[in-house]
Amino acid sequence: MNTTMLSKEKTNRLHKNIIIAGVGNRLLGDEGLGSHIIDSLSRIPLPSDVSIIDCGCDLLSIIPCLNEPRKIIVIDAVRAGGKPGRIYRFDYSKLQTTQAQMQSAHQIGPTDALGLLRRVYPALSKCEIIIIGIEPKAIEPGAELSEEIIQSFSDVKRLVLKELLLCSTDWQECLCVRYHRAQKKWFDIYSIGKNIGVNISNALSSIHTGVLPSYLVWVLAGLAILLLINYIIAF
Amino acid sequence: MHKSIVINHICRVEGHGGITVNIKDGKVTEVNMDIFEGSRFFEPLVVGRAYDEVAPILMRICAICSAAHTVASLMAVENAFDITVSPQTRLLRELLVHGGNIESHSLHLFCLAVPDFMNYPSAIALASDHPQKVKMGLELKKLGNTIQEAIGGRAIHPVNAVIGGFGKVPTGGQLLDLKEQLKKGLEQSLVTVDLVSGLQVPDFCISPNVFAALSFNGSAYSLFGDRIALSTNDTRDANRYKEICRESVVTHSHAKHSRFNDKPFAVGALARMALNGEKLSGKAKKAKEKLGLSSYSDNMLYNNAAQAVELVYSIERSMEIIDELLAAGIKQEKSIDVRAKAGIGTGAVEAPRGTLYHSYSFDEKGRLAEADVITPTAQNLANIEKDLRVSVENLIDRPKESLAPKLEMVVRAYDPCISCAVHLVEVNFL
Repeated sequence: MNTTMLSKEKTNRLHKNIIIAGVGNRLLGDEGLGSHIIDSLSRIPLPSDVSIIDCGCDLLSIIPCLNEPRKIIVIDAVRAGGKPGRIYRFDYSKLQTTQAQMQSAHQIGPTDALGLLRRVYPALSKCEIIIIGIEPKAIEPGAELSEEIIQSFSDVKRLVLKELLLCSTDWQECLCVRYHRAQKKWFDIYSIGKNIGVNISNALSSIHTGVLPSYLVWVLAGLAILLLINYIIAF
Repeated sequence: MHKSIVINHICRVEGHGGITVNIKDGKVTEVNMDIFEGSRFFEPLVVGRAYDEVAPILMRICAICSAAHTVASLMAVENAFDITVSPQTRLLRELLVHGGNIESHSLHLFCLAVPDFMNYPSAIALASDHPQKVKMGLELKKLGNTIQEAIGGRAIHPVNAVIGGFGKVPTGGQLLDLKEQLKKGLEQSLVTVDLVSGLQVPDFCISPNVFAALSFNGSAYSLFGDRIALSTNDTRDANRYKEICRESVVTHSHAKHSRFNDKPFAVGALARMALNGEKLSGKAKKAKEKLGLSSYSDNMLYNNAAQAVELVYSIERSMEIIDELLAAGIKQEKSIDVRAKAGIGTGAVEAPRGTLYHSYSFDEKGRLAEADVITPTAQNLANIEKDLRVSVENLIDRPKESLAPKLEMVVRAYDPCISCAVHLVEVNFL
């Protein structure tokens, strides 16, 4: 039974071919933002083909997750001269061609680690690698993040979800299933919305008699409702 | 003639550090191992925190040694509260520490040290010509991470090891699966020993060393022990570690230096080999003989060879632990309830780079009043400077350009984690 469970776990891992890795040391203030964002991402539903890993200072910790990955998203603090909390998106292959240097206090820097992994694991050469960098405010001893960094987290999460939407077969499959069902008129959101709009419009049209006294009644009723709302707000 | 060698950043060590050597009239006047990475202040970070918050924070000192930091921290808390854990918990913790040892040694050997001996500027360059060698190293690192994930709940920064036990105990199936992976890892570790045995170890940094390591009463080699043994035949209880590590502040470094009887000393795989090596058995014992570590070595460059032996040892011992756990039957035991009280406790573990000490004192509500963490690299810093001085004296006629890589090689042989070594409390006199 245990072996069956294990093989299931293995299958799950094999299935997870998108990796989100947070890098950083939580004892150095904003330096640990990559690690913190992983906590934040672990609280929201993600596609089943996604692995999230808090690497601490060691990006090579993603090795156990490397099974012909299709996409790796690395989240780390990046000093690029912008305002604290500013978000950058780098394509790793372009980083190499432009000789970009990432300043990092981690033992084997993220770019070196990725370079090493690409040399050793040929499957990674076809893998898209995205680095999402956030401009830190304070890299100094402390377990807390700066306010600017905390505020940037919702945008970072949005960017990560956008990246996942582009590549996650799980989510794309979800959308495909939804689309095919909609084609068969099963919970077609467009059709349902259109019907609701048409029905409201029809209801209003039926009230629209074109007779002056009817208009007058509606105007007076509207005025009374407004006065009532005003009265409620005032008291 | 004045000559000054300044290496502003030592590549391929954990964290940031530098070496400054001043030579005047053909004599070495000054050798400084500089720590200029921001001081970490990690001890004050936990002061005032509840007892169960300490390990999750302090294990973040180092990603590579997070298993050793976690176990040392938990042991310190448990000693302060007089908690005795079950034999199963002790074995699982030992397995967790071996996972960290396998991860760290394979990473250091293949990505940081071997490029030196094979004349490659980096692991990436080595991987271009020898991808299978580097891949094997990374596969061994993965094995270490896998053990930590199975036992500690995560590949690094374990969350499953808690005060008094484990949050979740691994199943027999998980342990059997680990053993299968360890069998493959053992073969790879023996290939590693073959690789290391083929490397030429230079002799420019030979100087008398004082070694220190934890001593275990039993007949087997261990990464645990309640006494500290020195090659000077001195011994102390682990909770009297301050008598061994007399720390002093040096002006050129953010990290304190440790000395015993005013002499620098070395901790780590070579120290363990020197003090406890005769207790090795099985394939690890053969590996030790093959790598020329049967006799006491004063050449710290052999620390790499000692790590290769420990790689074999940690894998063999991990398999033994799994057999012991399975033979006794895995019990789904809950962690022991904690009754907080005022107390002082020390936890000591042989981390990959040497003896690691965590020592805490708690108030009656279980809040941390004082913390002291002494990492292996902090203990080694004075000895590194001693070896650098000897190396410069032996290589003084060499051109500056060829001397610098040799000095970096000495520092890297210690496998220093400079980020961990930095812990300094600032004092303001008002």
